[in-house]
Order: sequence, then C-alpha cells, then structure tokens
Amino acid sequence: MDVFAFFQWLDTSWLASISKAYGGVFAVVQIFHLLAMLMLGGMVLAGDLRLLGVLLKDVPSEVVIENTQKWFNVALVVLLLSGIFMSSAVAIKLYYNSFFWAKMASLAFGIFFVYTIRRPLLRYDHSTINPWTLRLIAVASMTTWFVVAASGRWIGFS
Amino acid sequence: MLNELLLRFAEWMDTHAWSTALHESYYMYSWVESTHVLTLALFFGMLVVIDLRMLGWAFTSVPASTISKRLETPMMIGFAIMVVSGLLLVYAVPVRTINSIWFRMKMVLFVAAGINALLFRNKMKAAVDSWDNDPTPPKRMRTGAGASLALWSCVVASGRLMAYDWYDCHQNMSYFMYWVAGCVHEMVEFE
Amino acid sequence: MGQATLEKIAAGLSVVVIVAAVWFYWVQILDVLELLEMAYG
Repeated sequence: MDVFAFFQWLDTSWLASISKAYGGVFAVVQIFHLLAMLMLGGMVLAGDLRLLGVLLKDVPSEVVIENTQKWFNVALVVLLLSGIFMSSAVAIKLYYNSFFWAKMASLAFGIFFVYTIRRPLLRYDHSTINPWTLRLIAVASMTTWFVVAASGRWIGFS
Repeated sequence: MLNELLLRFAEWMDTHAWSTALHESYYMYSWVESTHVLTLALFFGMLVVIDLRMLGWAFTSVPASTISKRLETPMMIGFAIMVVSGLLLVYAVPVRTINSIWFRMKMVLFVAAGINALLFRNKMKAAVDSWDNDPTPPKRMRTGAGASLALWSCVVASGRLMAYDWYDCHQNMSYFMYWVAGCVHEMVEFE
Repeated sequence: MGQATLEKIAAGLSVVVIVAAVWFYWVQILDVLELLEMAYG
C-alpha cells in the first residue's frame, strides 16, 4: 500500500481545494476540531478519573462510563471528520511530520483500545473486575488520549 | 485613551527580559501554550459534563446537584491553570496580544461567561431542591446551561483565532478596525 | 471472549501503553536536555 500516494491524492482532492482556498472555512473547522477535542478530553477524564476513584465517587462507575461513552462517540466523529478536512490543506507537509505519525499511531491505538477492550470490558459489572485492572485501563486510556492531543498540538510547533 | 494606556502597558511588559526570553524559547513557549490548550480539556471538559446534565442530555439518572458539586473542584483547578498559563502567554507576546481584536473579543466574552456562570450558580442553589432529580431541569436552567456552553465555546474560539493575523495592526484596515484593535500608531497615521 | 480473558488482555495492553508513553516522552526529554547542553555546555 502506497501511503504517500494517498497523501498526494488528498493534497489535490476537492476537499483540499476548499481547505486551501478559504482560510476562514479552515479556521472554523479547526475551532470545531478543538471544541470536539475538549469534549472528548472531558469525557475521558470524567470516566477514567471515576474508575480511579478520584471523581464522582457517589455515582456508580457504570453510570459514569455509560454517559461519558455516548458523548465520547459524538466527539470522536466530529474530530475525525474535521481532522480529515484539516489534513487535506497540508497533506504533504503532514506526511513528513513525525508528530503527525505519532498522533496517528496513538489515535489508531486509542480507537482500538476503546472499542475492543475498554468498552466491552466495562459492560460487565465493575465490582466483578479486578480493581487494579480498572485502574490500569483508566491510566492507559488517559495517557493514550493525552498523547493524541499533545502530539496534535505539537504538529503546529514542529 | 484606554487604547493608549493598554498599549503603553504592553510596551512596558515588552521591555522585560523575561518576556523576551519566554517568547524566544521554543520549548518553554510551546509547553506553556500546550498546557494552556490541554488544561482546557479539564476546565471546559468538566463544564461540558455539568452543562449537558443541566440540559437534560446526559447523566439524567443522577441528581443535577451531585454532578455540579462533584465536578466543580476539578473544573476550578483547570480554570486556575488556564489563568496562570494564559497570563504567561500574554506576558510572552504582550504588544501583539493587546492589539489583537480576537484577544479583546475573548476578554469581553470571558466576562460575559463569568457573569452568566455566577447568575446560573445562584439560580441553581436557590431552587435545586425542587427539580434536582428531574431528568430534564426547568427551562430557565436549560437556557443558562445553553448560554454557558455557547459563551465558553466562543471564548475558546476567539482564543484559537488569535493565531491568525487577518486583523493585525500591520494589515490595511479601516479606522474603526484600528480603533477596535487598539492600533494607536496606525490610527495617528490614518489621520 | 470471556470476561477473564478480556481482563487479562486489558491489563497487559494497558501496561504496554503506559510504558510506551513514558518511553516516548523520556526520549523527547533527553533530546531537549542534549540541546540545552549543546547551547549552554
């Protein structure tokens, strides 16, 4: 699979013709990307800090996870759509940016971890799960999304 | 008058060695900036959870007061880090920031969002007993929560737009725009 | 997949992720320290 060809295609796609020509459109999409990132971060923090027993201790963790997961999904969809649009504007530059690839790797892992490990496991009664497993999942999840967001911010600096 | 004072204050900060050092340090500046943005996930993230509960869109089985009381502390920790890192960012780039219409807009929205938050808090404390367990809080609470989300989102948005130089003083703009941005020197030249 | 298996995978994978992230930032910190040393000796 030729990854570079994909970025070349993206660079000349109709999406790029919008994102490159209209700075205002790009800026607005970027704002939605940021707001969705904050929502995703908030849901991750609320859910994982509950699993760690830091927040919302008097609310069952099943309830916290169920409610935060819903809005996490919404935020993730907005992030992916706005992210693809934004990358079309600077596709070739991103291909050569190592923080972009750090972000993509951690993002791919994050999505895999949430939907095949964290969510299926947390569907079980949390009291039947080893508390240390819960804590490890919480730390791993917060770490992963932190790396995704921090690497994303760093793309702009590097 | 106010524009002159603000610009003089910014120019005074600009003479500080620390301000220049922070501005020119690639790592320090980027780290402070990243801290400012990522701490938003704590401040704004908790705010979103509280406001979604007040809108009746999340945590409907949990009393509204529980959500707002439990998340208030982490939210305020986030807020404190935001203010400190934000002040550092202004200190690093004082003149351009003071002359940024986005920064000025952000400060106005910030005050508006703060007033809304205080009013909202008081309304909630006064009458929470009557609807605390309702999945959907009364209309006046939902309006307040919606306003809170909208105002803080605009604060974030105008902060993000500060990175763009569309309306910086060096651009060709009308006298009114120079006045709004506080481009004192450009205003004199315009006349 | 049963709960017990899932739990084991979750715990193992979590440890790997945390170690990887610590390594990722450790390497970057070393880079910065090296730059500082070059600049200030």
